[in-house]
Amino acid sequence: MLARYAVILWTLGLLAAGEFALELRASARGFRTLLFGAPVLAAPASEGEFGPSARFPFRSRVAPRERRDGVTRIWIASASYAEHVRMPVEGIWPVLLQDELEARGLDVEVLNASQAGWELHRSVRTLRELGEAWAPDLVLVYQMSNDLDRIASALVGRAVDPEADLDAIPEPPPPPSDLDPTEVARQTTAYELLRSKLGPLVGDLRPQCNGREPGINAAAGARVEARFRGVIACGRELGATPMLVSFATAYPDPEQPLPPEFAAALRRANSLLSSEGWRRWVRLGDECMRRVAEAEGVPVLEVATALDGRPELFVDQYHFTPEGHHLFAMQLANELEPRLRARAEEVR
Amino acid sequence: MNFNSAEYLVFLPVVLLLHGLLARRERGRHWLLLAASYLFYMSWNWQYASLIAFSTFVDYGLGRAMAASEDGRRRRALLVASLTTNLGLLAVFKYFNFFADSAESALTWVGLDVEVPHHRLLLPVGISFYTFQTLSYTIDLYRRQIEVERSLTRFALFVSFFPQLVAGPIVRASEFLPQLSSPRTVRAEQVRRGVARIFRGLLKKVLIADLLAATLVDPAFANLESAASLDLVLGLYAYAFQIYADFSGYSDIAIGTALCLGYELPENFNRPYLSRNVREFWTRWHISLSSWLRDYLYIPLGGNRGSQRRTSFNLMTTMVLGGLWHGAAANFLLWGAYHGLLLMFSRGADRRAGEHAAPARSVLLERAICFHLVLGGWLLFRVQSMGQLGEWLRGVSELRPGMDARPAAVLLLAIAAAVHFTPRGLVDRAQERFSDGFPAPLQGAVYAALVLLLCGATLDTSAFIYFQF
Repeated sequence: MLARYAVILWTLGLLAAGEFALELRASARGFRTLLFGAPVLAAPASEGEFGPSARFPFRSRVAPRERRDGVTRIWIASASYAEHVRMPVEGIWPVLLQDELEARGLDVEVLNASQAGWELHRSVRTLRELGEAWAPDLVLVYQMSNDLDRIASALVGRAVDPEADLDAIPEPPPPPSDLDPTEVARQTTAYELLRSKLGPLVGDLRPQCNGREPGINAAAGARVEARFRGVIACGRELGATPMLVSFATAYPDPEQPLPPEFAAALRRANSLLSSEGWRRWVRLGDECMRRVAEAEGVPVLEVATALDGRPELFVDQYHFTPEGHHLFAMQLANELEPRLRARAEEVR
Repeated sequence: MNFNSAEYLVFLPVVLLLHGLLARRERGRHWLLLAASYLFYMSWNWQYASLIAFSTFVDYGLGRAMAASEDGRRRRALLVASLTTNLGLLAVFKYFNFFADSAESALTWVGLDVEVPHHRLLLPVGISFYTFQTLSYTIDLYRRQIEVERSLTRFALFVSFFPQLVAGPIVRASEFLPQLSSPRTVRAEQVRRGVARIFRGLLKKVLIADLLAATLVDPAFANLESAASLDLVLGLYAYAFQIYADFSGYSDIAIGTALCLGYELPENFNRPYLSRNVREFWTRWHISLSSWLRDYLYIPLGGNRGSQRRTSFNLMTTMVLGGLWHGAAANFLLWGAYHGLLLMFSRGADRRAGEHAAPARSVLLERAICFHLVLGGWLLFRVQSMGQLGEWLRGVSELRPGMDARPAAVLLLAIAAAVHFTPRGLVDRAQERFSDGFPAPLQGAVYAALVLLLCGATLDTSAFIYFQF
């Protein structure tokens, strides 16, 4: 009987064998896989010193939930640029920032609530879920590219899903069900691999927005502003002081050609905007952020100026190298130090 | 559960293997396929499975009653009951809101501000397909062209057979019920050919239809006010090949799946854009629907047996209703009327050509003309309102400069056209050579690679166009 279905069995068998081999390889390289689960990462500098863990859900130095007197808690609302799972945790800028501020004699605890792929909306949700328990004093917002990607999919790729209310604050995703074949397929290494390899090729076939269309830019700007206003309002509801951080990129000038590897990485994240269009939108987003900051009386910490246009500090258009993380932390510490001292004076 | 989804990749092998295990137990196989078909349908909306079950029970019962009666008036009444029930369901779910809107507009136009009630029911997937399928049974039974089906299981399976349940081909009772009545043997060769056909359909769907939609069609039709004229025109050409690849791809998967189970479904497409006139087009495009309309609507209306005016009326009525079958919207109605007009002119032209022996035009020119006439119809089919139709026409006539379409996307369109115009025999022979001549492990390796390729290239929004009908 089975011989009749030999073609189907061979197809499924080879797919299963291929997936197993890919998962084995991915697991050995430190990735989470469907069969082998979470990777066994190199142990951090000292056991239990860094999160995330069940008791401390942040990728930064572990701090007790109960506040110490005199400490300033800094909440980082960001994404992969601050989480950077491929970097040792000691080397990412939120941890370096805490180290640097402490070295300058300031008593701070950094709560790095950042995760790859998160947008401002997701940051708001996390702030709402965890903010009350952890009572931050400052909320540092360093977000841009994920929001632009999402807004581009709504405005530029609108034919894909014209009615989707993409600006609604998303509900927590339901726990993945092992019985849902689509979810299982999407968790496979083969799927991930092919999406990342073929995705840019498919994306290249689409006409891309160059960021010069006033109508789309105005709509995108309005959405960016609404998102920044949302995170500021949320921070204030918790009694924290929101601060926005300017967004740094390797090649900020839209006219400047991008190296192929940078362009490919950008396309993987956003195939609807050309590399020129993406950079125009980052400028647009920066202008919107500053407009909101001025209207809301919120400071913008000028960190990007020290890193912008220095590709040696970036692994792609917006993720840092170890040197980039270090410089970013130093620059942010410079911006924060006088404000923290003034704040400490006020408290006294 | 789309044919191009991970769910189907799991569902199909499980059904095939269970079906294989039940060899020589036809009743068991029928129950298995019936359960699988309802499971398949309920993956969209479990509640609407009751509609199919209702249609099934009604037509099964009416069919039995019709077969038991020799009284012509009673048989006719039973037929009318079947038509009323099935078309009534279709009217409620598919057309009620359209006619309520139209009535409201008409009343407003004459100065009456009346609110006509609407419903908020979702359109059941595939209702147009299975309704026509069950109707073919009662009509053929009434005409005494087929025998009554005494087994409820077999009849229910005929109505709900999952490979063609939601988007055809529309299978006649006379084609399918005899297959259910005789024991089916599934041979390795059938499975190999079926799998090859499934992958042929998937390639058409994912690599041609979805990519053309994402790269040329959707961007053009989403920006009718500002898109360059060339993009609008390319978008329309691309749509012609998108809808062909999408729908014929679905039919390929349906036919291939049925073949793996030992059943044969009718062909639904035959290189439609090679037609030399619109009449020929309708013998090559959605063949199961056009032949259904011919046999159950056009011919009963009188066909071409009456006067020229009566034939024109019959043609127009058939095509307008055929247009409305696709959807309750003005553009589908216009599309049907447009094809009705084309068919009327085509008949007239053929008659004149016959009388005056017009100089022979080249086949190529005839095909080009026919293709562009059909293309005009696709514009009516693709737009979502008359306003959009006006915007497209304005966009093209304004000769807006520039072109946003990427060269690679235009190349894809050219490839899609080349694939369509490749002689069918060539493709079929290559497919057969592969499925019959290559060892199973090699075929498995190729298919596994294709699964990965298709997973990687599948876009998030990739439902088949004809599911909405």
